[in-house]
Amino acid sequence: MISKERARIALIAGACVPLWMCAGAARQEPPSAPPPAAVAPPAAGPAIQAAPSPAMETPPSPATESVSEAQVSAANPDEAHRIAARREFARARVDLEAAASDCSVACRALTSMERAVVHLCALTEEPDDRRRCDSAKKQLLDARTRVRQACGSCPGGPSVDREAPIPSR
Amino acid sequence: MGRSMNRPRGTDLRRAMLGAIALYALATAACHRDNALTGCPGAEGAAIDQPTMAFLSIARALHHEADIDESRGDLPGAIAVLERLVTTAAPRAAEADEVLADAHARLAELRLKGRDLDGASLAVNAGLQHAREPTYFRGHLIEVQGLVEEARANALADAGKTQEAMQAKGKAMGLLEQAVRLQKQVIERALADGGSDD
Repeated sequence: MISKERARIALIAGACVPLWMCAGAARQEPPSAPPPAAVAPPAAGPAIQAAPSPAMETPPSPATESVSEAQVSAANPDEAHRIAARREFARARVDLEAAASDCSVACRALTSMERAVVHLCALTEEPDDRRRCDSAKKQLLDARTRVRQACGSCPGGPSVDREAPIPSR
Repeated sequence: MGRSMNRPRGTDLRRAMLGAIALYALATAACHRDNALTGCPGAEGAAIDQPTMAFLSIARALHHEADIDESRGDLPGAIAVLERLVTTAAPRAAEADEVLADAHARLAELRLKGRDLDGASLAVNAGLQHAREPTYFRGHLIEVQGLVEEARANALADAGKTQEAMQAKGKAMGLLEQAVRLQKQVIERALADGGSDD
């Protein structure tokens, strides 16, 4: 869990750098400076702002990055900062989408569901209580199967193996 | 082993997601500030205003502060930090409601750890005001309320109040069943299109 916390903090901290760079680049950019053709072709600027291209969805490959950065750093340091900020933003966005994905939501809901089942079943005393516990367990196992089919696993979260024992208190 | 190591498994996932929401809000806002940076993605209908961005940033910082207090075993300190969060003026935004629902759930869990059952119930009820739709956040709050009633049942039984204990137990079971059903709905809805990892 500590490693997850650290990962989260690193994610946030990692995003702070490009944000500062975003802001810094915005402030430093001369109002009349045209975008260098090597980095931002005239048609690409407005198109990216209106609707990110597939290239924006995925961070560029290291080889492409190194060539672009070398070319641009020599020609225009500000533009190099913007490229770095854009790349970091793309990475942050990928992390965000992973965190907010349907599977992430499903895994968190499964965690909560499992905990509710564990406590519910710990309260059983009467036969009717047992029936309610069994019903809840069946829903949990069905949910595990569903999450496993759609997501494969819940990294760091609850088991999605239908055969895995349900934790007890 | 610190207290943070004893937190429920879902807590870190939940917090990671909130961090990501805040991050995206910050990133979107920063990139659109001054409308000057080519390459920052468009708002795509997800533009976050400045007050919401500021609130999300405060929430993230206070959760982190509470994490530190919890890891030191300072339960009252962590509770005090979260009380600051839930009393911070919040903008009217869906993101702020999710943060507040989550913060109230965490506050309720901490008060439950401290055996403040009435305080925990108050936190759950306050959180439910920010989670009226059938979401993970609402399900989690109901689950926590179930745990509170379970603890109440145990305390009453220990005190020899059998009848009241049975009533609290019945309430706990009903709430926990409700949480199971709700989270099942959340899962079915989330995975309706087959789920996605990216």
